[in-house]
Amino acid sequence: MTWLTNTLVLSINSHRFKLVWLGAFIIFLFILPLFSGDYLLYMVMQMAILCLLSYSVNLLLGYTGLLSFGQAGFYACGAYACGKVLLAGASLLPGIVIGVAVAAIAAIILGFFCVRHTAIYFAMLTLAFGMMIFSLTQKWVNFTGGDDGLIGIPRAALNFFYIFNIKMDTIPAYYYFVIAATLIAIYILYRILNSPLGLIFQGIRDSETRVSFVGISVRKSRLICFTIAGMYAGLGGALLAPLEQTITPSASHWINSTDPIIATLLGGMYNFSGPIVGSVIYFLLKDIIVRFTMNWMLILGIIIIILVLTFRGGVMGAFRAYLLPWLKSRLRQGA
Amino acid sequence: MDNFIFQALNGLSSAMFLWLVAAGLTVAFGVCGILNIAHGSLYMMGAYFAFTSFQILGLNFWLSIVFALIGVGIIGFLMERFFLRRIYAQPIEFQLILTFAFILVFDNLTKMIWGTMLIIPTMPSLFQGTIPIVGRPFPIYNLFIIGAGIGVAVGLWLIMERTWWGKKLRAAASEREMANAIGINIPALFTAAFVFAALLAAIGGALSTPIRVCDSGVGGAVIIPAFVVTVIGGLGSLKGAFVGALIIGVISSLCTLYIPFIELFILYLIMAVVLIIRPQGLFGGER
Amino acid sequence: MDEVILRSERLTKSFGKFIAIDNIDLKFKSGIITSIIGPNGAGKTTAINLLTGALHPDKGKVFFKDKDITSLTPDQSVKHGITRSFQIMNIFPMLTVLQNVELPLLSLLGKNLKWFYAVSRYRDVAEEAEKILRELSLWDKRNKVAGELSHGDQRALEMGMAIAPKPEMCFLDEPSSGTNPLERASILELIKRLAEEGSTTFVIIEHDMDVVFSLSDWTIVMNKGKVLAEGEPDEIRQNKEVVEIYLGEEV
Repeated sequence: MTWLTNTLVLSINSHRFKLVWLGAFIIFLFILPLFSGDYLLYMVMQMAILCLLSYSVNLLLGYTGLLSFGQAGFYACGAYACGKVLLAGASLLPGIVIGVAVAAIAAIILGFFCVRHTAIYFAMLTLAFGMMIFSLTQKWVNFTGGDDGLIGIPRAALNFFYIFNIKMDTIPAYYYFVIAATLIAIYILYRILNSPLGLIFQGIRDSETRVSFVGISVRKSRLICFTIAGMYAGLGGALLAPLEQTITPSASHWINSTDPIIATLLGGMYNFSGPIVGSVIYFLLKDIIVRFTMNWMLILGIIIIILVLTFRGGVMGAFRAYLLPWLKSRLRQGA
Repeated sequence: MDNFIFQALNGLSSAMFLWLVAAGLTVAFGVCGILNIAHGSLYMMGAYFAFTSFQILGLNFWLSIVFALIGVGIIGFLMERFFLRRIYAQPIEFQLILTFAFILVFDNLTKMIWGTMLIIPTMPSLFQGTIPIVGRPFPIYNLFIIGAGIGVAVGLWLIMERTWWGKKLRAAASEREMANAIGINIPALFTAAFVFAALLAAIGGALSTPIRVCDSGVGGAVIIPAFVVTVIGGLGSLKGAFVGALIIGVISSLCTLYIPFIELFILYLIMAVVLIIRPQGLFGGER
Repeated sequence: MDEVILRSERLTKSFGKFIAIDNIDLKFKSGIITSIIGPNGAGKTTAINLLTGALHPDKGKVFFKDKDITSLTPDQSVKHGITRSFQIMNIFPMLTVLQNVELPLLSLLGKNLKWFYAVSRYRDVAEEAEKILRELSLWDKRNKVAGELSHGDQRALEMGMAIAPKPEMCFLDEPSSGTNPLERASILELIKRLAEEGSTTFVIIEHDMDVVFSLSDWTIVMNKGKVLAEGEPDEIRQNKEVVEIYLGEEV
């Protein structure tokens, strides 16, 4: 037993063991289709997409100190753009790339205005822009299909000139694509957040004036951050379009911007793995609670209230602050 | 032209609902510094309470409004006293998330209590009928709403400008430390202000039941136009909320007449433009 | 070294009806420590805000080495070589001590848009950060979260952030406020050392008269948004008007 706790604590703490955990997690994700049905794979893909959205939110909220109610707008940009491209007969990769690019362009344009504000004005402006995108998706019927949305989006094959051509019509095939794309995206974000640029973002969260007085343009850095966040939301949307094969305006409604906020808060917003943990917990909680009671929203609401009032660090924060020291002290007593 | 006048008048009556919601939002933000996303849910609770006492308990129209006020007042008290109070010092982001959680709670509670039943408008006999305006029948009740909205505005103005309590509220809103120094009991005042804000929402909700369909999703739906209104008028400014409500009510009503496709888009565009050009709104101070 | 490095011309700034800075001409000479003193509300911090780009004046101009820098934003004025510290503590409380000094170096060394490699991979940043932290005697605490440092250490850290971009001119707004006597002594020691070693011109806002007279070569007295007097500390100590409005109770 001591050996087990010992390994556990060590594995939580040291860098090398973290990599082992991570490797195990990735291997698990890749062998999952071998023994699970399509429904579970579908769930995991949903988790992955929520996770990308949560990273988009957490980059702004946890790392730069900005709460956006408009991320669903960029999500919809990615989804609609990708859907349109695939409907036009393109293959998967151009669809995803264009989806992300459209979201990025939208984020640059809207971000130019948003990043001049902070706190409440930022939240309100992102809300307004998000809802503008929502009403566009609803009313620009010729392009977006109105309330019916885009229907029959093909899950096009992944081909790259004549080098490879992989069919995506089965759930497991698309699952591998989604997981690979998500993992690559998360890895890139990890690099960004540990880089000088990421340090600047965190500086802005802590003290905007201080950042400007060390010679860095706060607006420019915020705009970069906003654009990256938009791209991650867009990637989530772009991956969603071929999965659901239908995209409706509800994707861009502001209520959709709150799911990733909640997931981020659940997982822990000052923690890099927070959004992954949060998205998984969010889906599992929902899946479990819905089995027992109709009142999923009530319970979710209460969970958020408790989190905000008592522990804003979320699950990962609580883990670091309470569980880890406790495990260590147990270990010391044992030895 | 007749179309225009008639539709503008319609817009005026829907502007009054916007005003009642925005007024409470403004009081809560101005005094307590909290932007209550769940304010629309308080409006919804007002509607449900009034509907229940009118339709199910068979009370008369006025008594059911009082019933709604009491119910929502208690909810507002509990919300401020046990939850919001603990988060005033935190960054605004957490306040927004916390009050958003209350939308979920209220939505679900109404579903539990009232089921998925829709509140279908029933006009009390008192207000049945129409009067001709520009040769068309205009519902008496809509006129009553316009009167009630203006009445609340005047009442609010009197309370804020003429009473000691109103002065204390304004002091707490503008100079928190000074208010503290001259011996105003800030926590109690905040509770009172928040309850007051909740009551304004309750009036709006209760008055809406004869003409508006209401279900458990209304809380989230009502709050967004109210945000648009308060942003345009200036966060924290009552005058701004009134003028903003008039502008938005009339514009959206005219849009439905002439350019129904882009009505919503125009509203959010106005909100965004105001935020970009003049974030403090039409009547906001330097805060 | 009597060369004027930074000067203002007819600087005016008001907030509503309150005139915070009233038509003042300030001059700061290169290579010496200048201190600005004056009662609360005299406009000292506003003056610094105007000179560093945190605020922009209603009227008047600011020249740095004869270049008009009146309308620069803070980040631009840092690039011109002007930095500052703040009266109310302004560090990055959730970052580590090391990260706190790395941030100012990023822009200096042109690494602020690098987005792929970890900060620690940039040798020049790491070396410079180590040098600064050793100077501040904070090297042993480099992996601590800055918000958890003692008040005195936080003050030292903030000063480190102000000098990290190797400024030609550095404004320190009450660098010793809120510290205990021991911490204060070490902060003063630090300022003195930095001023002697480096090529930075320091301007200090202070309340504590001992600090002013022991540290500075030149003193500017402000009152009600105007310059009341300036001169060497000994002259100021003898100036009747100054003694009346400000020093009266203390000297």
